[in-house]
Amino acid sequence: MTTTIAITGSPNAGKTSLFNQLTGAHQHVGNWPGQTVERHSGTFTVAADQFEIVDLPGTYGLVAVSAEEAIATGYLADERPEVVVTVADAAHLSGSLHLVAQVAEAGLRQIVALNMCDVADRRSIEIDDTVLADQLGAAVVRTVARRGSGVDRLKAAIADAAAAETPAPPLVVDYGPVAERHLSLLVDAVISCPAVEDLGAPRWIGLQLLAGDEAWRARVAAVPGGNEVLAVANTNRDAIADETGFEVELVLAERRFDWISRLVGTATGSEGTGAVWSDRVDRVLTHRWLGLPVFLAVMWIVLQVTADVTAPYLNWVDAMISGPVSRWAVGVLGFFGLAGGWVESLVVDGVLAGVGAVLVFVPVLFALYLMLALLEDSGYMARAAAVMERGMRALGIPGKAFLPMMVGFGCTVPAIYATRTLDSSRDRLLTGLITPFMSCGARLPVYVLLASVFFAGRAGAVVFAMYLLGIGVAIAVGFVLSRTVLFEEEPAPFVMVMPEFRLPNPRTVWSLVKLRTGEFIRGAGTVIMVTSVGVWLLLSIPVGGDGGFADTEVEDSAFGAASMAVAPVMEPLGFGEWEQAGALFTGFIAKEVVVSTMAQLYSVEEPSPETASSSVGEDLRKVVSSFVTATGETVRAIPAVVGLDLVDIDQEPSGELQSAIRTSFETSSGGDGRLAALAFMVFVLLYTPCMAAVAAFRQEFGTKWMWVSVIGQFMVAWAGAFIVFQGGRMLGLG
Amino acid sequence: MRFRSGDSAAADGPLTLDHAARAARVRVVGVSGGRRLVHRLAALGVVPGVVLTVVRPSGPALIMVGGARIAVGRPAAEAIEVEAVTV
Repeated sequence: MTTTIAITGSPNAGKTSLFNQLTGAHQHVGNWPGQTVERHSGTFTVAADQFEIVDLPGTYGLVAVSAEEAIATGYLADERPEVVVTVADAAHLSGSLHLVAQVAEAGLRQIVALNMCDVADRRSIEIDDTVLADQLGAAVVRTVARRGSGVDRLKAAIADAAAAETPAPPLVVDYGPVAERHLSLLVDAVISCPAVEDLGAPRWIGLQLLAGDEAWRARVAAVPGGNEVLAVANTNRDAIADETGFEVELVLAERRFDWISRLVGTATGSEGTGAVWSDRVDRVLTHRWLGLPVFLAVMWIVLQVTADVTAPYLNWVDAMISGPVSRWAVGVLGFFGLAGGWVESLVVDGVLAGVGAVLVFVPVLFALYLMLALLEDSGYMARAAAVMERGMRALGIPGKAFLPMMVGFGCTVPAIYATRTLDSSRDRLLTGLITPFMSCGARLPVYVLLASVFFAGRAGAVVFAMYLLGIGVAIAVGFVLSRTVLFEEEPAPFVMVMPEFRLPNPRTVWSLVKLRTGEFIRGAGTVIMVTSVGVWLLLSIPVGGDGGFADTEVEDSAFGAASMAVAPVMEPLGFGEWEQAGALFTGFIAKEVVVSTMAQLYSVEEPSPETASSSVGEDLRKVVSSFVTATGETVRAIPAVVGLDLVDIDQEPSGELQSAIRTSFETSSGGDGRLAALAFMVFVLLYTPCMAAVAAFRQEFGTKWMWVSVIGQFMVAWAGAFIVFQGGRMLGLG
Repeated sequence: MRFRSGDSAAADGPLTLDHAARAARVRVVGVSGGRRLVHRLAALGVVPGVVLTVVRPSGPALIMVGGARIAVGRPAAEAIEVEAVTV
């Protein structure tokens, strides 16, 4: 039999690390409040007993303020798991006990994992766990999740708790004479209504109704007799406010915190304070003016590392796929007698061309995700959000929107889901609508390719400009929305815990990078493979001319016909050639394939060059030696990040694809190839990120807003590209 | 909705966090503002009676409470009513 348990805790208490240690699963662990959005679960066994553990989103308490917290509190209230493991931060005990006390008050059987005991020890914070256990009515287990210590004891405690026969008696906190009198009236009303009483511990239900928790009010209203109970709750709420002169929320919070302070006082000698140097660093990093240049400098380094340092690897992977790997594939096909036919065309032009063009950018994304993971795990991300709050709020955008926007630099899909960290549905929608303008990792290949063709020597600056433009458009759209469709009188408050600075844990960073890069590769393996093969199919189906299947001119194919139909719309933007329209067309499915479609469209136009025959042995030697060369170049490129240009990595573009692209843009724009290329990059930056992002958006905000988002982005993209191309022409740039 | 202790409001208005002195120790006497703000602050231990250290009063405000460092945006800082603690 499987017992279901839940793990909860405030953000940054180490909940996700502990969950990983319990289940052995590798998961995303970050450093900003409210990171875990999806509900993850895993299993483990103790002796013969099987446990399923659900990892709940981080929450500071059981009155949900954000949608994410509502997931956690809703799960605890509705599912009432047999055991709840609450992760408390031993170094910040009083901050963690708010949640712990509420879980105990709700009458859930609880185990407190006193985590980060190593940090508490270093600060000489002594905690008497027997006092804690006694007062809370819960088992207390000391853990250090990052090192995995205490995990076996935690498992044993879970098994013990699950085997216990008697239900956990709810913790009773004294809320003072006035509140207690009204609470007992309300509890009587709860007990007299069986359908409401069934929902949980009566005193807890009464407390949540007094506190005005929306989820509990809805839960009670939904059962027979619930509205009568709510009426009693409202009367007593008002009465408490009248008699004490304080609103109920404050009365309850104050008394609960009193109780916590006394408990902390008896369980610990004294509470430690944060490091002094950390205060000084925070004064600078979150400073109104000083914080901003630091933030921009950090972003600059991130983008330089991803664009330049990885370039040699990028070239290496590219050379491998188009060289030896393609030759080997043809060789293998030849062995089975399939060389030269449509199968070879499918494998080389469809499968290898598509996946290859994606794989070349794995090093780029790997570096990007590595940098983001370092920022998250070190604690810098939360500081960046604090810096941005002031300026962003002035523009109508909540400071917390910065987090999803930053994630949007990696991938729009998790960024859309990350909007759940915002406090109100209005803030979430606003952030969801502007986040897609943040340039995701998949758009980078398009900039890199075009910039290397048209802006050799200044590719890094052009790419950086694209990122800045994305931020600018996001802010402008947010500004307009916040003053029109999404106008609100009272914005959500900005209150955010700054996690401790810490050295990034290599294991955490590595698992995060692996997970995200793996997601991209899986994307490449499914959506992009399907797209690449689909495009190959469209290219192979003749709709005109006299060619047969897989033997038709591109302009006579189904794909050519579709692209030609779309192309005129793009003509005022300087890229009205059907190949360019076709590449953008497939970009709706995934931005990654814009480049692979270009590769396909331009290379199938001319006969593929005969590759010099070489033995497998020679190929392998070349694979290894060129990898070594690439590594050497990468090492030499690192100083370039800080401006020391030891090696020229902006090489003059070469190769068929580059020259085909140059010719194509020069033709389509009537000689202003650079402007057209820039307009194309702007269009790619601003239009719909991909199918997956649209699906994520629909899940979060509904079909209506999805269409608003998709159509709005297309219009913004078209207008942006139009301004760049036509405006540039008017100014005589080109 | 107002959340505050009526008698703490002096004629010239109560001191709010954004006007507190840097590095001061202050006691929270009330929180005015929406329910969401009150719940969020309560969960982080910012409730009436609690003494906190003002690392910086604004831009955004940084406070230390219970060993945790919390950034507070200006509107929220304006809603936290405090009084100076004399040592």
